[in-house]
Amino acid sequence: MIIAIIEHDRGTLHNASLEMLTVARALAADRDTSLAALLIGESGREIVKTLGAYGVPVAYLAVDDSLEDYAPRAWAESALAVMDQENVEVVLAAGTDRGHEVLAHVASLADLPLAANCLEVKLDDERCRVTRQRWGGSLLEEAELRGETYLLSIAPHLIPAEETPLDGEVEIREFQPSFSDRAFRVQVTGREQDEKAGISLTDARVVIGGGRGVGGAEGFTALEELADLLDGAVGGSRVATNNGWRPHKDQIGQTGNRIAPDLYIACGISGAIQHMVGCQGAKNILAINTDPQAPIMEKADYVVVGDLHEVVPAIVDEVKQRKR
Amino acid sequence: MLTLTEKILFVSLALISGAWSFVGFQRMTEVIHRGEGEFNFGQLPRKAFEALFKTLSQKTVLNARLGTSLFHALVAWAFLYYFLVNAGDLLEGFLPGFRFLGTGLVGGLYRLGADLLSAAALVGVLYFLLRRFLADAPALQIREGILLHPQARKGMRRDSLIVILFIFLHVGARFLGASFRIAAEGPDPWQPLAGAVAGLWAEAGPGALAVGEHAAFWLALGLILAFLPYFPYSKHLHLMAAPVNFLTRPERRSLGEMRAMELEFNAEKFGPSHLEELEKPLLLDSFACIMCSRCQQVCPAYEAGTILSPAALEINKRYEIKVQMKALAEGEPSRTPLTESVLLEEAVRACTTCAACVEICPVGNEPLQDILEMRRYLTLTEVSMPTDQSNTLRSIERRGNPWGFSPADRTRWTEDLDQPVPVMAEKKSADVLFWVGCSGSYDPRNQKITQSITRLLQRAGVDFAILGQEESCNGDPARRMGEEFSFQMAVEANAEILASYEFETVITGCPHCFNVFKNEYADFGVDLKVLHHSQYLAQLVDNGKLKPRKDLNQIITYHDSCYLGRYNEEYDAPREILRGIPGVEVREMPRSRARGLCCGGGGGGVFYDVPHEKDIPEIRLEEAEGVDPDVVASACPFCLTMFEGAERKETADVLTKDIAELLDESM
Repeated sequence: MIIAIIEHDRGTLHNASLEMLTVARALAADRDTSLAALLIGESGREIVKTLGAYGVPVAYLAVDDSLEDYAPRAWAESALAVMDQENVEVVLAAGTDRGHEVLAHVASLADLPLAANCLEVKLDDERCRVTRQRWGGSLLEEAELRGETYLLSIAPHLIPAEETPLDGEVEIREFQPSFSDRAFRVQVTGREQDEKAGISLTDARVVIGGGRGVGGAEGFTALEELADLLDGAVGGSRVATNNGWRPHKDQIGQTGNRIAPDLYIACGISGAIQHMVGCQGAKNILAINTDPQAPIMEKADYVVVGDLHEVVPAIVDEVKQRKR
Repeated sequence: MLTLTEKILFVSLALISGAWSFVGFQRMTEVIHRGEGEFNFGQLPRKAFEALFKTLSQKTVLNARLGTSLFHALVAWAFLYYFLVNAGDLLEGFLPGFRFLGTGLVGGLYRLGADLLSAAALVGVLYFLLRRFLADAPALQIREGILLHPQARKGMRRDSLIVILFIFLHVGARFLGASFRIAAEGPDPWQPLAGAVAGLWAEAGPGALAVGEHAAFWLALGLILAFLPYFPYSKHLHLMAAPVNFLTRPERRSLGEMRAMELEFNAEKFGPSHLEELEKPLLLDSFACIMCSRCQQVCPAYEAGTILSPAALEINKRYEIKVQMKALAEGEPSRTPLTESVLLEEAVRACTTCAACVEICPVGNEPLQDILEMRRYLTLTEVSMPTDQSNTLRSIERRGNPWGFSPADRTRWTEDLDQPVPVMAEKKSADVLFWVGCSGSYDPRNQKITQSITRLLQRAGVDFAILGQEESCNGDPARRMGEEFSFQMAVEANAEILASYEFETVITGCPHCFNVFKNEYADFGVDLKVLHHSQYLAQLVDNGKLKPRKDLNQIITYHDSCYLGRYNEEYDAPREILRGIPGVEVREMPRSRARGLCCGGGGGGVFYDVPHEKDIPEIRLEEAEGVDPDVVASACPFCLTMFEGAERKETADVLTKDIAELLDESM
């Protein structure tokens, strides 16, 4: 059996786990063995359906009141509980901080070999051969593991998550693990909201950016208004954040956020390379600038040559009109 | 002069002092030898001459802070002379009736020298006493918030006081001794100053004068015995460590050349995490450092208000060694990692690698090298770096440019030009290979510079070609950020491409490309004849192939790029180009040429931000504004990017352009 430990936070799935499933499915097929996911905590039930869409036929669900939040050793002990019952060839996790932490605990508790950040896995009866990342990804290492069960984490962001829907329903095998007295030595003791709720720059489908041309913090009011109308987020170029017109966390560019909206409206931004790096993922760029020679005008899909202090309010009016 | 009892006492004390000092000096050398690598003992005669010249002439001290340095020179020259004086006094003390160098002209001149230099040393040391303790000179302070060894602030003051008192008493006693002798034995025209003081003792009897002479001897020479064991723990050691430093420096092709790392595949650790893993010369640096903080004064990162001070780096190294010298000498590991005791990680990343600290250091220290070595550890072993940096590194590795643009877009800049730009893949050979560089290829602003250079080459009829889509990052930013793997992979890839075409000269549109090709590819067997575009264009103007005609009617100040200027000492070519343009008045900023201030973009600085109070490019533009120019000219794409991205609070009007652009405009 191949076990895939699925990372989630109170039912919110970590995408790296879906990428890991691509490897897990291939391994199970290759070894002609079964694939099962391991979900920890009652809230894991919420993602069982998603797992079905990614070709996982069986999900072990560890339930216990104490498993509401992540606790590395408790997760490891839950995995060991399944490993005790089944003949497990490989345990996989996403190559994230938590994935590594859990696998390290399993490795240490059961004295099993672990390879982190794998890209490719080849398994036969004798050994497990992996290609894995080292030195932050600048080096690939060929490694070989020997043991009864192999623990592998899969490097994130490199293997695409592929949907392969099951024919039937996912079979849920619920169990209550018994924990050692050390299982909750490390646990979540509190949660703090990072920022006030709102659409983050990196996720927004519309981003309004302001640069030198905005002229000051008060100039951003119009941009905020437009963003509200379009359910978008507001960011700034380096000039805007360096001058204190926008907080540094709103910077778009080489240093700062890399955005990928459907529409990026760049207002009074010249388009220095530092900035363009941050918005090269935008599907459409609308540039508003008084200088037709500004580099951004060349990169933009739509261009308004004009003063943003007139153009932006005009757009705001127009959007309001149409929304009515 | 000395009695038998005194002689026995002096010899006994000398033995004790010698043995005690020996232990200290031995520990010091053992600590230094814990370091990695070896000292460079090549070309010893030449370097010995250089070390002697630098020490005697005080050249490296006098080239900054002239006033203070002159006082330093007085003390230094006196101290050097005092090697002779002390030897002479010792012999005279032990050999009854002996007169060192005789009573003739030679002896007279010797005594005149001692007389004048004693006074000089006293004046000099008095100045330093007042400077440190009365004026509390700001130049010697290190800003709060910068990591400084807990003992350093007090320790430096105490150490300075001990050294100053030692010199004062040692030289003062010797001077008084000379005056007692004159009072006892009659006037000596060769010692006018001691003679004048001797007038004060005219009334004293021979017994009292003899006692005075003995007391002076003991103070002057006895103090040396007392001070000697303290020497290895004092910054005053610089007077010995600095010449040794000059003598054993690694030969570098540029001020900031980096050592090629042996990247053993199975190594678990790259770069130094602890003191004893630094290179030997870098450990010696800390003993040579006199803590004058000149490096801090010229450091752009310090001026910008980051937490980096190269002075604090050297001082911390020294105090870390000092508090665990015995343990380190005995082979124990140092107690804390460098990033906790010497330089915090954020400070390591704040350096722009401008090498101003190396250029200014009077004792030949290279704080830049410590920083670069520490980066290697952080990047390669800890994989610890700001996200912006790891993005940059990944882009260099995967897409061959620091921003992650598509390799297919590398030649987009050629599309707007009237004439086609020849590409090596088709042409196979050319006189000149124009290495455009990533900035010049992708950055919309710098593409304009590349187009100017291309137009100028075409106008001058140069047989040239570009690599086009075969060009990719040469690895310099990766290397400077500590990613030696990426760098060496880039070298390998580029070496192969470069070897497949025929050309005589490479010209680069970027000082960073220029520097790495000229000085650092050679370690990997790639020998290129490289010129920076300013050098090549200056040649074309010089031999009449380019004739700037159009009057630009502008006042221009030229900003030196660190990698063209300080690293490669090319200060004149860009200025010659500007002076050759009709209607251009070139004005110099206060900090120019070897003392030019960095734009903040080097060493990967253009790719990430560190917490700071004031933008470095803004500081530089304000300085430029001071000479009231129409244009700030530069010859480096990173400088231009930094300037164009500056806040421009006060400097909104000044234009920033590349010299190639200006030359192109005047055609």
